[in-house]
Amino acid sequence: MRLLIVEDEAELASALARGLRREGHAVDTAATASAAELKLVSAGYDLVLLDWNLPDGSGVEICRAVNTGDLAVFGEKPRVLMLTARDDVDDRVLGLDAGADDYLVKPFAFVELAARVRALLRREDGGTPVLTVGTLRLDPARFEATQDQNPLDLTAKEFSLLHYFMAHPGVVLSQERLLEHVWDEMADPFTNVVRVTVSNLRKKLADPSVIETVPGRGYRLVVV
Amino acid sequence: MTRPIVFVRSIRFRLSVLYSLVVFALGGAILGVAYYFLHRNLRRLPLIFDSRVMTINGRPIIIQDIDVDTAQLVEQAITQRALDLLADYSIVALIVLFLLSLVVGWIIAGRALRPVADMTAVAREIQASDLSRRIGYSGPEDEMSRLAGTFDEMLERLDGAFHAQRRFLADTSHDLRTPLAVIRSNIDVLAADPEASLDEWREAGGIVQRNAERMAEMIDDLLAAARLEVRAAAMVQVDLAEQVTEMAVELGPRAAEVGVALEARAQPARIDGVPHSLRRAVANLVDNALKAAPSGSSVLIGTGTLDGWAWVMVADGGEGIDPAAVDQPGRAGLGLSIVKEIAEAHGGVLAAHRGSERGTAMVIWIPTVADPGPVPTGVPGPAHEPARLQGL
Repeated sequence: MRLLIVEDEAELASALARGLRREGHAVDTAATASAAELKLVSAGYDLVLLDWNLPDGSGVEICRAVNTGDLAVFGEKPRVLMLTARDDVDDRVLGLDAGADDYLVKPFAFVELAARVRALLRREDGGTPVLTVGTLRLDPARFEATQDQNPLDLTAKEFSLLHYFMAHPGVVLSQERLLEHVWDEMADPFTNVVRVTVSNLRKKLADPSVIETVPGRGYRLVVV
Repeated sequence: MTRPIVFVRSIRFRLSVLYSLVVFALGGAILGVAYYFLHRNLRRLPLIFDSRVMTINGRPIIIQDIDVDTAQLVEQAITQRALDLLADYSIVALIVLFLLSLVVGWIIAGRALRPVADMTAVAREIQASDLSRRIGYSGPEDEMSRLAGTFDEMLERLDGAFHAQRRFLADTSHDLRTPLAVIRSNIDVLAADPEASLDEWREAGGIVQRNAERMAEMIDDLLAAARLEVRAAAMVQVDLAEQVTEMAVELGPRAAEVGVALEARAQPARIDGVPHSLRRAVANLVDNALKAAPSGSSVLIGTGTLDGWAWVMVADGGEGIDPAAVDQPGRAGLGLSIVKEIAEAHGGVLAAHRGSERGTAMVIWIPTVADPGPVPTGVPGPAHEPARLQGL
């Protein structure tokens, strides 16, 4: 899943990005409100981690703009997790009312942040902590994937790719869409990185035919 | 059983009883005096005294059928009856008057004391967390309205102090949480990664060190704020120009470290103040300016006077901050909060100006005379350069 961290403390943003990438997410960062807005309109994010106080604006305003549609985000509206040092009940209420899906007060334990990120993304998967499609089973919290109860040895990128396929079973997913949601902004849109990763994933699956190629359109996870 | 005690102890009760007693005493005195003189004169000056002649309405009447003694007895009986009746009715009238005055006194005292009851109700409703309530007394200009007004003013001051403190605490906790979050997240993420390299740990060590220092500085600032309160009373004559000239020399090396030149353009500006706190305020402004100023630019410290106000300005050519942020909790930051506190402790204000393109000018205004006019608006003095503060 693709995440955007909007945080002006560079040392905090980079640590969070590193940790969340290890969890298998594609992560971009923005240090200012204007940079965040630019990224939100030019790429599709599944979740935005939003700091309240930004040097040139307020995270709550971005959150509100995303929800009211004043900011025309790319693709579907992302979920929003407010990440702030303001812990007043009034502030929390204000943040959640502005459309934030969750609110975490700094300083927090990284494991809690990671769990909340998983919980928010899970809502998109249909609400179950463990995804099951046919004989495939994927547990994002434990970073475990199995096919016919045999563990699969996947890289972080292959794991997130499988996660995305399993979150959209039976749907034809274009290369662009996969690139958008599984890779971060550092990925070159003109490479064949998607094709290569899909093929590597297939090789590791006991039954490669579950991911089929739809010529000219993309890939699909076959629902048995 | 507290109810009757409260009732008896109330001013309303005491006032109405006092009022009734006064009315009762006066009424009693009037009736008593009337009775006394009536009694005395009727006895001393009877109509029938020596002969068979009595005078009624100035006309002599000859008494023929009864003797004088009997006639005197009859007159005495009539007089006694009149006096007795007078005494009886007087007592009844006094009792009625007493009861009536008690009721009237109770009502009048209640009316006069109503604002007091209102004030008590408001004071009872005021919670420590909400000092926004006011009595808002709207009666005639009298003792009550002055009392209510004084009470409202006191609430206003308490409310202001309470808000300032809350803001200060919000700023402080916000500013302390941020470096703590940086430290915690960096350590958490590395600790969870068994493949983290030594270089990554070294880098995290540096981050922890820097942020721990940041927190230590904040705690110093907090202590400085506490100290400010203690020493606020010890005001002496200070020339701001001397202070900033010294400071420019002291802070020069630190500015040079980040590649920024520090210039002082000090015109005499004498005020009554606390030199230690004023220096702390200017140092905080310079700190912020040095952080904002791009390498190779210069930061200006200026002083001067204008219309009964002395000013200290610190200007940089950085990105420019939102001037409104100075007044918003959580956005000003602890350093700026302290500057604001210090300016206000000297009867002054802190104003922020942003260049239309870039640059920030922070100005502390402190009055030089007892009753200065309104704080001048805009950036003081000719001491800024367009190159540094574009469009200011």
